[in-house]
Amino acid sequence: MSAWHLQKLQLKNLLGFQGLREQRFQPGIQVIEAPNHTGKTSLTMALLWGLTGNIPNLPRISRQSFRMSNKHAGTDAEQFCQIDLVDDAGRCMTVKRLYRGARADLDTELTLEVDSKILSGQDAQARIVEELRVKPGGLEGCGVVLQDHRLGFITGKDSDISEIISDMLGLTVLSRFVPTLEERLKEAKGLQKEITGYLEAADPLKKV
Amino acid sequence: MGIEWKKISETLPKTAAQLVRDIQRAYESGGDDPARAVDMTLLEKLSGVRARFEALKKEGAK
Repeated sequence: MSAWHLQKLQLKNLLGFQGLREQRFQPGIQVIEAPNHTGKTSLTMALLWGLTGNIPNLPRISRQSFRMSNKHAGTDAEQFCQIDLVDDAGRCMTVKRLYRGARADLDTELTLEVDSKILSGQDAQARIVEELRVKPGGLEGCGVVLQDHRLGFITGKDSDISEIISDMLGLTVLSRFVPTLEERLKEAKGLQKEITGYLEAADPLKKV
Repeated sequence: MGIEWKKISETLPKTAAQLVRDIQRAYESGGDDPARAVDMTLLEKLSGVRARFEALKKEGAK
């Protein structure tokens, strides 16, 4: 089965981006480090939405305050997410999801171009699932973007390590890339528990 | 005398971004086996925390 990796992501008038925004990715581990509120989460969400049609649940973003379209773009503005991927054999795939208005999971128009074929709607979604092995809801845990064994981390300066680790825990694909990862994370959790237990026993009033 | 979490945490990367950069470096210099390089980096970090914890425990027991 092919190992696809992200090549380019384009967003137009979606989430935190007004107008067209393009982000290129390199093979291997990619780190996007930028100050808070500059669009890292928007980038991740758009990517997941583009591939699955679903918006990941983020504890810090309430459903009430969530807007798929950029609030500064006019209601008639074109809104889409386009994802270009390439696999190890050099095959290319382009996913384009247009946003039509009210519900991010329903009001979309999806097209997929792969192996010189253009698919749309459910056929396109089924092919994406088959090629990328991504399922709606299967990539929750925003903060780490990855595709097969290619990794991309998107971190904010305020992110703490436990958040990143829990993201890693939630994404089993990463374990496929580093087979011992789960073991290491178990060790890290065990060590953390041991240290916390020790400190609390030494000073029960002090919260670690 | 007790030990402080702050002293143990000195062995951890300062930020998540730093941890990610360390993993990235390991991956890129990992040659044919980047997964092993990433694993060794994680192991090294865990051992560092464990060693500092044990040393501080020992010091505290004196």
